[in-house]
Amino acid sequence: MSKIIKKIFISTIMVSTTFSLLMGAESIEISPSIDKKIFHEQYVSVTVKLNNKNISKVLIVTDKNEHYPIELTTQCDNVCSKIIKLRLGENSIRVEGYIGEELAYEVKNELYCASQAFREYKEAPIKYKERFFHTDKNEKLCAECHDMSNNEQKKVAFVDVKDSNCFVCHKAITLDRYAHAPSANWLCTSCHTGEIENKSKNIIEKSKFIAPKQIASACFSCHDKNKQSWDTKKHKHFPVEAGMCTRCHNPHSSDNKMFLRVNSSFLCLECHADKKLSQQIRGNSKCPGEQKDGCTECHNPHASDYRFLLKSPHVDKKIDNNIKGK
Amino acid sequence: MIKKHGTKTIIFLLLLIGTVALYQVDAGKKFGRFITVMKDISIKVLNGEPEQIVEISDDELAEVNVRQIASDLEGKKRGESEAEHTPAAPTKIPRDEIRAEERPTHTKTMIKEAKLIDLKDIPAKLKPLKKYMHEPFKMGACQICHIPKGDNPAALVKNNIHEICYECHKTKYTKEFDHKPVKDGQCTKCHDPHQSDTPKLLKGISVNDTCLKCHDKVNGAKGVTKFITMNGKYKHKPAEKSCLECHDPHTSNYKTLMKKEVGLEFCLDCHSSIKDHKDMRKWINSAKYKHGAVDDSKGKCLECHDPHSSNHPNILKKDSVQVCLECHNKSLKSKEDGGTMMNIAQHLKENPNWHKPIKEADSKDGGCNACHDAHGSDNFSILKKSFTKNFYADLENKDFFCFKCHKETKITERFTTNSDVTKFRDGDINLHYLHVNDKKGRSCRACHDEHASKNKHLIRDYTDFNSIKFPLRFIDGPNGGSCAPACHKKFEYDRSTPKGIGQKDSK
Repeated sequence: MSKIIKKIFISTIMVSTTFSLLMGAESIEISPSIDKKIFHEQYVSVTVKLNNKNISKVLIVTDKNEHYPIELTTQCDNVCSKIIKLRLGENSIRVEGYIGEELAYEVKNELYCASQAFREYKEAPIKYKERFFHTDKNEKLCAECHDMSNNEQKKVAFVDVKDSNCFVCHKAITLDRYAHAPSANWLCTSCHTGEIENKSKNIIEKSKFIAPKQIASACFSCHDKNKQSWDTKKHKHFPVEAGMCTRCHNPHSSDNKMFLRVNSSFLCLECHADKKLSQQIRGNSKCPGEQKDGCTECHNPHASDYRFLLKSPHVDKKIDNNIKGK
Repeated sequence: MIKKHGTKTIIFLLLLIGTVALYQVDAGKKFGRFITVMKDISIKVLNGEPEQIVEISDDELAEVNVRQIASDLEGKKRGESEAEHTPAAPTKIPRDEIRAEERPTHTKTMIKEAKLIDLKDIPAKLKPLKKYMHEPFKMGACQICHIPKGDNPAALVKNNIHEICYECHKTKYTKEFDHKPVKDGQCTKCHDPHQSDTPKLLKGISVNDTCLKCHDKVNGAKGVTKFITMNGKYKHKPAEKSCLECHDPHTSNYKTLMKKEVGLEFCLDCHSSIKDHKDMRKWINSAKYKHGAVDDSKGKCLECHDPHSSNHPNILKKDSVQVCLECHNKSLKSKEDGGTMMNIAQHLKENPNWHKPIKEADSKDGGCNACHDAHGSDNFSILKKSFTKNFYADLENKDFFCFKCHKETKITERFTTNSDVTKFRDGDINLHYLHVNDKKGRSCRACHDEHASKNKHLIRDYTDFNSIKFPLRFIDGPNGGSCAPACHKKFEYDRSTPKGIGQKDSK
């Protein structure tokens, strides 16, 4: 009998603790959800909804133990947000809510930061799903405090970029050293048209501001002279031919020159991994690519009239003969 | 008694009733008509038209609307009397008979018949004698025109003065358009019938003075519709010489009594062969880009120029900015590229800082024509010299005609501390040089608005880059300023304490 009482007692304690934990989890929530989602930019805006008014401090901690304290503004009494920087690949973040100095609530999320430039991070593991935020349903969540309409005037940039409705949440994407003019001036919809070449209707309906992967036509509307010079060339680099400029260039901002996603010498080797190997074998070779500007010292990364996208005709007879022999 | 004359009285009564009824119904009217018709016939007889009396049957008579006839007759009479007083219609004279202005010789018989008076004996008010005298006056043949009548010893031979003039002179109102005094027969409005110091016996001291007595804008006569001024600072030389260079004072087949049809060719007849002037015909016809005001306007030259005089150089109607804004106060379609031209009037209204030529429109190098060629040009936007439409411009091609007024050293000197060369400096680094003299050198218009701006130094609010408008976000400071365009992040410059722009890797 006493055993039974003990069992009941233990089970009630377990139930109550799990219940209290569940209640605790509900008292702060990340809304809209970012758990198990794929992000294509390195910055993400985390919005935390506080269901307990006694919470005095909210902190986002990454798996590398970076701390992002969130200011509790009076503007939105139960919602606060913070932009955090992700690393490429898998990230896990922990949102902590404090009452006084005591940790009261905790929410864990896993995110994936994908990049077109890195072979390694191009595709996310299956558990992560694509995220489309700008749907009518999601926008309603924010519409209480934020103007979610697109207030951009076509082809006229904002004098004060803070006036852009996009700026509030997405401001971090232009923070890098070199900012691309259309993004730094918040002419978002010149590329984020919501019209994509992809056949799948599901994707189109899921986001209003999705940008096509084959973005070249938008790029060439300004960089038309590049198009003219490349069109006449014999050989084109595959991403150029496919119109996927954003594969190498970050259209928003970058710490690297020419808005490259990675420093130019490393960027090439992400796809051309075989060259990486040969370079390692060579060691202290005289390849000019190892000094100065990297691969682009000899190659034109876009288009060329010469083989291997070389800037000038190749003169190495050995290699020439090899190719002829083949 | 009644019984005895019963039937008779009944018949009598019936007759009486019948006549009364008849009288009531018809007879009165018929009688009335008869009287009016007789009156009509008698009037006709009295007027000497007895043959026209026509027999009218009773049936016809019944249908005659007498009132209508009466009113018709009265109307006819009134019309006739009016026609008697108006001068004979000018169109009756065939054009072949129009002869050139010549001195008519008064017939000998007229002179013989007239009592000649010695010029000494003419009335005192006609003395002293003037240089030019009317021939009959010179001869003392006053009686050709005057005849004493009652109290007036100088009464005219005929009631209307023109009737006397046209006795000897050919009629002058012979073409499509007539000068109003000519048409009204008021020859003496311009000409003195006796004598004058001006040829053609004009009343004024010159041809122009005579014309301007009525047509002057300020002192003109009442009832005149066309006014001009010859008091402007700049005068059209032929107009200054004589109105008759272009106008016929009496009658013409062209509007405003012009000698030829007004149009481009009329002006070009002179303006293609004036010494020290460009051949306007060649210029207008050969220009690659034509100005709508010259090419397809209604008024052609007169759209902008006053043919008489004006206070503005080149005898423009208004100052050389306002005259352009007459048309360019709306977005017009450009013939050059089919695009729309900006509404300059609105642009100037919205932006208070104007480019100097616009600000000083009446100065020597001022006005829109400081940069634009109003008569057409081989350069786009009918500019006087080539310029670029582009944001970028190569250094070799930077022979912009901005440097007609602005010093070229502004962009060619790399280092300078001279504020006369440029104030756009960070310390001694010439930021104009930095922006312009590069592989991707920018043109002036990348940053400056050539017309007007809200900012100092005519800095644009927005720069047009690939048809996207990017704000420059220029802020002027006491010793420098800052810019945050799309091209770079916010950069500050200071002339005395340099901020370090222009050094390599400042990015």
